[in-house]
Amino acid sequence: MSDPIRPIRTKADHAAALAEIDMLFTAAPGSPEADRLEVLAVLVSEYERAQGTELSAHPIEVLTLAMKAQGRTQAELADLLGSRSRASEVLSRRRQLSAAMVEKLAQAWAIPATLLSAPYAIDSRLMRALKTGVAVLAITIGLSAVALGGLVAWYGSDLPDTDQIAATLAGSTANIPGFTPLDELPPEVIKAFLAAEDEDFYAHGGYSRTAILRAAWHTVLSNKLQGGATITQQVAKNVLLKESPSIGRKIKEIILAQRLEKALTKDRILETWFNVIYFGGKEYGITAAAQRYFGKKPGDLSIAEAAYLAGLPKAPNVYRLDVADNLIRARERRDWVLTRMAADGMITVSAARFASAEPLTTPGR
Amino acid sequence: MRVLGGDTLNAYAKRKPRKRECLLAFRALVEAASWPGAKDVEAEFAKVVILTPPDRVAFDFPDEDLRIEMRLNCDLGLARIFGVGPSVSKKGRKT
Repeated sequence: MSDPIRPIRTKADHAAALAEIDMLFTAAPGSPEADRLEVLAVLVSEYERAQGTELSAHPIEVLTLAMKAQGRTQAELADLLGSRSRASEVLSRRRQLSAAMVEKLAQAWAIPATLLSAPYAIDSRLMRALKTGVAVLAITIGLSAVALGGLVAWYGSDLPDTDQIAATLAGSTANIPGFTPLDELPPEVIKAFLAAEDEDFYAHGGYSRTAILRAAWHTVLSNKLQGGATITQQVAKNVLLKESPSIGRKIKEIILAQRLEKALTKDRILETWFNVIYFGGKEYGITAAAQRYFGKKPGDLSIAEAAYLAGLPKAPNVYRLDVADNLIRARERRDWVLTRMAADGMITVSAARFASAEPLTTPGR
Repeated sequence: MRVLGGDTLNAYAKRKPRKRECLLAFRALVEAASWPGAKDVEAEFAKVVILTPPDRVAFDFPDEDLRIEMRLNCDLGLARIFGVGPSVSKKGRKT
C-alpha cells in the first residue's frame, strides 16, 4: 500500500511529488496509480501556480509562435485578415486584433480565442518615431566614429611620431636668434598671452573640441575656413606643417597637436610658441616683438605692453602700432585683453583699469 | 493540458529575460490545448515538434532559439515539462 498523499508546502515536497509523478506517468488509465497521478498533478500545478507570478501571454506573441509552429507565413495571415498592411500592423503591434480577426484565427488556425482577446498596448506613432530616431542617431554616431577613426589613420600615417616631433622642435628652436626661455618671461606676460589666445592651455590635451565645433560652424556659415586653434595647434602648424590652409591641414594639425602634447611638456610647448609666433612686419617671437614695438626686452614689459603684444598674433597687420591707422583698433584690442585678464582673475580689475589708462605708443612714433 | 514542472520555464526565463514572452506564449498555448493523442500535437505544432514514443515530445523553435522538452499523458491531460534550452536546429549551430 502506498503512502497517503500529503499537501505540497515546500520545495522539497514539490520535488518529491514531481519524482513520483515521473514514476507514475505511464500509469494505465483507470488504475489506482493513474488516480494517484491525477491527484498529485493537481497538487503540483496548484503549488506551482501559487509560487509563480501569473502573467498573461501577449496575444501577438501567441499568434507569432502559433504561426511558426504551424509553418504559417505573413502572406497567409494577410489572406486571412484581408490585407497585407493589416497583417503587418498586427504583427508589429501597431494595430489591435479585432474580434472578427480573433474569430477568424480561432476557426481557421485553431488558435484559442481566449489567448488572442487580451487587450494590449499598441506602439504609438510617437513611440515609433522615437525608436527610429534613436536608431538613426546610433547608426550616425557609429558611422561617424568609424569615419573619424579612418580619417585620423589616413592623415596621421605620414605625420611624424612623438620622437621625431621632439627632435624637430629642438632643432627649430636652437637656431632662433634672441630665444627667450619661458622662465625669463614675467608671469603677467604669460598670463596676457594665455588670456588672449588659449586660456585653457594648461587644461586641454592639444585641441579644444568646443573651439573646433565653433570654427566648423562658422566655416559652414561663412563658407570660409576658420581658425579655432589652441597654442599647441599653432606650434604644430608653424613648426611642423608647411601646407596652405585646408580642411586636411586642420585635421593634421589636430593629430600633431595631440602628439606634441605627448612629446613635450606644456611649458616647453608654450616656450616654443612664444619664440616662433608672428607679430607683424618681419618680427617672429616675443623677443623681436618687444624690441620692435617697445624697444625693450620681454622681461621689462609692463602689463599694458604685454596685453598689447598678446593681442597681436590674432591679426598682426590689423593691430600693428607702426601703422598710424591702426592705433584705435590696437588700443581697443589691448583693452580687450586686459578685460579678459581681469575676468579670468589673472590681474585685479583696478590693475586692468590702470594699465588701460597707459598711453600706447612705440619708441619710433 | 495541465502543465507540470512549469518552474523549469520560469527559471529559464529568469536566466534569459528575452525569451520570457515566448515562454509565456508557449505555456499559454499548451495550457489551452486539449490533445487526445500525440498525433494532435503533431498537427498543431507540425513545424517544430519531434515525437519520441512512448510519451516524449520536444518543441524546437530555431528562430526563437528555444527547445522545450516534455512528457505527455494525453489520457489525463498532463504535460510534464522537464527541459528548456537553446534550439538544436538553429542555423549555424553544430549538433
